[in-house]
Amino acid sequence: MFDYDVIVVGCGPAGIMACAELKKRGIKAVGIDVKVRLDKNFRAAAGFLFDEQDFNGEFIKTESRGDNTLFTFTKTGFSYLYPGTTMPVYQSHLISNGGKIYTVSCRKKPFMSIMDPTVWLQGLCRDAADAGVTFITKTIVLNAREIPGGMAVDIRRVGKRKETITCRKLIAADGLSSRIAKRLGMNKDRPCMGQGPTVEYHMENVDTPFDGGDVGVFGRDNLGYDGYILLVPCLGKTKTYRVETAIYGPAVNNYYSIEYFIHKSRFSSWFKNAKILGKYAATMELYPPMKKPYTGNTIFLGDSAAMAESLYPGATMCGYKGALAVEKELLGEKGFEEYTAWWNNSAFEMTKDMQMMAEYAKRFLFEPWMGSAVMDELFELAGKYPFVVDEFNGNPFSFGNAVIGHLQSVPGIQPQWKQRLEALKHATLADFEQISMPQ
Amino acid sequence: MVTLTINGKNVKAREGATVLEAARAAGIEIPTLCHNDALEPYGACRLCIVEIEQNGRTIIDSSCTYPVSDGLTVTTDSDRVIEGRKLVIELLLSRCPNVKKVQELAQEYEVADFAREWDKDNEYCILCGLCVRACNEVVQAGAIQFAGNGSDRIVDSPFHTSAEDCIACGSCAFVCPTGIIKKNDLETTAVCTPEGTEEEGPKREILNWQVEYDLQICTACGNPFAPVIHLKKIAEEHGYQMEFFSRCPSCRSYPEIDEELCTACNACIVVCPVGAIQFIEKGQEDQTSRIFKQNCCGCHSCTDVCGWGAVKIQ
Repeated sequence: MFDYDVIVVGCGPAGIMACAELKKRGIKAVGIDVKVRLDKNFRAAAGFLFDEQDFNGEFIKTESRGDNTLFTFTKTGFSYLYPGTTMPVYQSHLISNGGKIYTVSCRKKPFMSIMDPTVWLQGLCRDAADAGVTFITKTIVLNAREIPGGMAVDIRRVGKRKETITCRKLIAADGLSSRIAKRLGMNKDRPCMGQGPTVEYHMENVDTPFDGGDVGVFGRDNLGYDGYILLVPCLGKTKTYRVETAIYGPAVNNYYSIEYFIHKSRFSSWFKNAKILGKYAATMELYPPMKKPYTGNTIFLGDSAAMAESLYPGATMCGYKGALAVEKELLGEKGFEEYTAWWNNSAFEMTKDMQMMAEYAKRFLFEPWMGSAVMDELFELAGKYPFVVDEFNGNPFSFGNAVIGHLQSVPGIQPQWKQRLEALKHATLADFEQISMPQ
Repeated sequence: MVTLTINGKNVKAREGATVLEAARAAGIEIPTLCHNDALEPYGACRLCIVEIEQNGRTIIDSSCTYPVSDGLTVTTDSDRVIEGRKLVIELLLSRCPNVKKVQELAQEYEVADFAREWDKDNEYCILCGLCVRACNEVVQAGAIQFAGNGSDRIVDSPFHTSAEDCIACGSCAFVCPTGIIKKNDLETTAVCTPEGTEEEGPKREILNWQVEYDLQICTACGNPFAPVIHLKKIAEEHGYQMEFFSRCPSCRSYPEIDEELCTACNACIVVCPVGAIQFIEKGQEDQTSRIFKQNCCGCHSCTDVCGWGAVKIQ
């Protein structure tokens, strides 16, 4: 009666994982994606993960196995053999409008690890191919609606007319600004918290003066526009970086800004020998996370239900959990409710507490919060007393406050700056809305 | 191809065509009331009668329903034909003396208005069936039908109540030769009640079928352009989203994607409200987005989000 048991909309890390897990359990599942090929990453801002620390309600253990790396999701209880290596990041740099550099470094334990999202997808695709999953590519999902006992999904293959296929359960894994969430009315009580694009150049031979580590560049003098640019190191031969933008105003400003930064700014000497390996971009609409990530016969995975920053490991974990939930649901048990309980209680801190998102984004808010001139002086002062720790105690959420704590303790800091920093420490999301955010 | 003679002139026509089609293609005018090129022949008004000679036998028949065949000899203006037409017009005139089209025909064929001497039957509908056929064949709504028999025959909505299946497309009013179908586009009106003032409309009403529907307003120019229910039907039939009809046809301009600049980032695909943008292969392994114009609603969301300036309006 139904064309498929399960239709998975969107074949990113969550979708492919869900398809493979369902197929392994003998459920007829199909993945639908608009992309031509699934084993290549086209999304910007996707190449890092937080391992060996608490993030997204999970503690990921990394184990190197020759050319491969085994990620064990200790709390969810599964592991994924990633067919590549990871690179640890021990340093983080912030550059102010006047070109002053502030560095945070750890000696022993890295802040985060860098992986290759394309390789991650290749690994998942390989697993899915082994399981014998079918994917429908070059197909856009226009609409989904409830029918008795299942879901009807309107799809359109490239250049063809609309078709309707039916399934018993629908998995929406179509990421930020999910079309399924919109069509099924899940965004009604989720006010849009911001939207904007980011563009990214993947470059090699970038001669930064730093020995690894990510670099955040602020200020109109450096970028030509308000906002910031982030250089994230990535796997490659020599000094390979992903240069990402987050700029105010029309989308195309991001492109103008990155071009200005590379060719005209005071840092253009870094890019003299650089070669662009790839260009990526993404647009995002940020909605508060869903409290109940399912409706009727549809379940939402990863970023489609969260605010953002599920990252590749979080999405993969959601894919696994979602597949288990759907399997239970098909057997007549209450799988979706279990998934919701997991979603709200143990996974994704950011779903429970919006404040976490503010903490997470704090280090990119120094400039609009403090003002460019203060930042310059503060960083110049702090440059004499670098922030070096053996082991960074905590998770990505405590990073912002740790940096503030160090800046406050720098000798010679003016009392009013100290107060302003103290205010930033306790700032809530509502406070940030008052200062303009690029995204 | 079939060869026949019309008014002594050799005419070629495609097989399966009607005599009326063949004559009109050859520049010979035959008057009609119930004929429309978009609809199946019906033969209701009998105004298009001609004299047809085949195998030595002569008959009078309606040209709109008579198929052409080889060796047919047709006369469109013989005395017998004119006499027949006069009779038809006379009968029409006695039924509908106030219909302009019938009056014109009467003048052209010099038919005296005998009916004026008696009590007049002030009927407007000539029962040509154009509205019914347009609704069923072209629009495929099936909202109206003939009702009653003989002299009681009328065109009506089911049970003489509001036509449920009507989508207020206005095709019936468009094809009606007499102008009896009253279609009005109403502007926004304020309705004052004790509770307060409520705004209504803009709306379209068709009085004959007792329907009234809201009109879709163009998001660009603010003018109403078609009933929402009509657009919904088209959307359902052809697989469009309702957002496709957010702009009126004259306000649409279509963007195009520069495939050299496109990095296949998915941003335009995500924001496109109608799913008109899809990935296609670019070279061996790469991909690029492309706007499929037949699905594009012309809203320009894609130009706003493209970080590379690759989506441009023509």
